[in-house]
Parts: sequence; structure tokens; C-alpha cells
Amino acid sequence: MVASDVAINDDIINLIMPDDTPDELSFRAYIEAKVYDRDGRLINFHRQEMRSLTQYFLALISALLAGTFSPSGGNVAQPLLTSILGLPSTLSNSTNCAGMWWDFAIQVGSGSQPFSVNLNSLAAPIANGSGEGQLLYTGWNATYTQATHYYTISVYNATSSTITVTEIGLVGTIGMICGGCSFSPITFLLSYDTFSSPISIPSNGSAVFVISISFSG
Amino acid sequence: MMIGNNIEELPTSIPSDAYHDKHSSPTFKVHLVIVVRDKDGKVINIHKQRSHSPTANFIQLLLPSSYYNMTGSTITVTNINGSSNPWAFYKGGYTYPNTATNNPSYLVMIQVGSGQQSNPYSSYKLAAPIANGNGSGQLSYSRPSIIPNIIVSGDSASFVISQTFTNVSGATITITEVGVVVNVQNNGAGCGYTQNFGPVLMWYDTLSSPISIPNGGAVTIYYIFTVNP
Repeated sequence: MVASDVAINDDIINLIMPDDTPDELSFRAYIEAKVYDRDGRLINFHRQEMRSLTQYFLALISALLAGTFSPSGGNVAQPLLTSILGLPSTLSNSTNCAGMWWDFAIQVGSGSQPFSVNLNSLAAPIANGSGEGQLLYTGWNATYTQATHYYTISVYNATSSTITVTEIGLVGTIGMICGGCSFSPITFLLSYDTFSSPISIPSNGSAVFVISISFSG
Repeated sequence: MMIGNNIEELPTSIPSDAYHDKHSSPTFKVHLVIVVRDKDGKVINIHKQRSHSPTANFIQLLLPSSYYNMTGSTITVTNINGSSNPWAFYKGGYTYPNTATNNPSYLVMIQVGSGQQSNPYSSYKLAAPIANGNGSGQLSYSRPSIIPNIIVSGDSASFVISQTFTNVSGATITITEVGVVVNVQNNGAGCGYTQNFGPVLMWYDTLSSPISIPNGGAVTIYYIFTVNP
């Protein structure tokens, strides 16, 4: 006779000790900021570890690690997609084609707040624009080299004042391709970090922010 | 606006927390917990180890749609049978449940094996998979399960997938490798592009020590994915 499974919530999580195995640094994530003055001279380079992934990151990767359909069968979504991301259990549409896609972006802000895993916005996002307190988000890039993803946003300070960045987040958007249905893409905060020292971007200066996520395998 | 001059004049300072040291901790960890029971249901072994091996399939499939839109690139997804096909979000999305035809992308299994391989990144299958069955050298695979909610503890959050395997083969069976296999399908706009990639190895680990399952016993494998541990 085989006993029923150990209850996942209580028993198994309690089995895991924080330092139960040698620290194999298989996953590293970094944030970089390069700041240029109005003449294009690099005036600051800042690098720190990314420390704060949210539950939405976890739910997103569950789509890859556990699929989008319930393993129990039926035409319903696996539970993390509905319980954490709030996606529909079944997408109502008139054709047999529904596909989930996602995209990422970097957002910077001028506030700070305590981290929690369900945090879903920056404390004080800096809007895209050339008005007071705004930054022009001039370029986005996503690429990878073997086991590392690189996400890059370039910003330009078109205002007459220095703008100081104190927080940064990786933002994810999930949308659906489907026939005969309406689904508005949903945005989530995948990571949130405050800078260990503020990043000041002078008037007519620019900055490049990079988030790199490495799976060393 | 000109960018890039005078890099050599940098007043560069890298904060101490940017370096790996004993105080540094990744913001994402994966653990593998394996519970072995004998024929009477008594727990006889609990194995824990750090899991550290997403495959190229997982790493590349995580790329956002803007990567494909900007580069026009595709990635190559190779399933456990060795078949390769190109993937790109502009050709469609990861299939999602809908009210018409079921084209599922789903967790096929946590697969176990008796071999090992040195480069998990490029692995697309287990080295020596143990077949599902009751015959010699086989294990009976139960259905995999996903925890319905993320477990939150302070700033830490986890989700768990698990599967139980029963040994009725008549002899002890030893496992040395484990992987997560997901069936991947792609659906395009207006049904213009549908591709079944088949069962794809997303995660792979060799065990730090072999796990023996006695005849009549069972093993349950838990993959625990945690942010901010």
C-alpha cells in the first residue's frame, strides 16, 4: 500500500531549509544604469543585483513549466494562470484558435516602497514625455545570449531640470490571440527594485537601463 | 545627442551587492524534493537538492514577443523525440483553453530516468528515460499535479508541481535524472498558424545521489519554484 501524497502546502515547504545545499549560483539577475550628459559623455555607471521578483513572474513562468491547460484534463486553464494572473479559465471565442503571448518593458520611477510579492506598480512611475518630471522613453530592446536575457530601455531628459530615478521594474504584458473574442492585454509588475543610490539624469542628458536575467544551466 | 564618448574617463563604482559573495542570494531558486516510500507507505528517504537546470527550450520560450517583432527571428524548439520546429510569437501564441477545439499546451509529466548528461542547457530529452508501465525496469506514472495557488511566506512565493511514481516491477529501480516535460502548441491569429511542437523538456536535473525505489514502493517528486527565497 502506498500512502497518499504528503500535503504540499505544509509538509513539503517545511522540508526545505534555506541553505540546505551548496549555493549553486544558477540564476542571477542584475540591474545596470548608464548615465550620459548632454554631450554624450558617460558620467555614471551603476550596477546592482536584482533582488525582488514578484508572484506574477512566478505565474508567468508557470505557463512554460506547467502549461496553460490543466493537467487534470478538460478545456480549462491551469490554476496559477487564473488565481494569480486573473486570466479566464476558458476564453470564449468562436474559433478553435486562442493563443497567449507576453511582452516585457522596463519602467523607472522616482519613489520607493516596501517590496511585497503582489506589488503591481512602481511607487511613482516617471511618465513618458518631455514635460516637467517626465522622461522620453526613446528605445527598447530585448535580446539574449545563450542563457541570459537582456532587456534595455533608453531614456532622454528633455526637461530643464535634473530627474532622479530611484526605482525600477520589469513590466510584463499578457495578451491573447483569438478569433471572435475580446481580451484586453493585462499588465503585471514582474520585478521591483529600488536603486542602492539614486540615479540622476541631467537636463538634456540620457540614460540606459539594463535588466539582465541569467540562467547559467 | 551623442552617446558613448569618453567611457575611459568613467567614475565607475560598482556597489558591493553587485558581486557574488556569501551574503549574496539569487532572487529565484528551484528545489527538488523527492520522497520515497516503501511498500507499506512508510517514508524511507527524503532527498533535497537545489535544481539549477532550465533547458534552452525554456530559456528561449520565455523571450517576450518584442524580441521576435524587433529581430524577425525565430527560435528552434526541440521536443523529446528530437523533432525541431521554429517558434515565434508573431506566428501565434501559446495555446490557451477556449470554447472550441482543444489544442492543449499542458504539463505532460515529470519524467524520471536512469542516466545522466553533462550539459542540461542543450538537453532536449533524458539520457535514459524510465518508461511508464509495470514491466521490468519500469515505473507506473501517476498524473502530474500543480498546486492551485502560490504559497506566500513573507516576501517569498513558491509554486509546486509534483508527480508520484509507483514501482510494481518486481525489483528495486534507481533514478538518477529528472525532467519537466510540457506539451507545447502554438495557435495563430485566425487559425492561420497552428503548430504542435509535441512534448518539450523544459527543465532537467541530474540527482546529486541516486534514488532507489523498492519493489512495491513509490516515489513522489516535487519541483518547487521560489522567488525571493
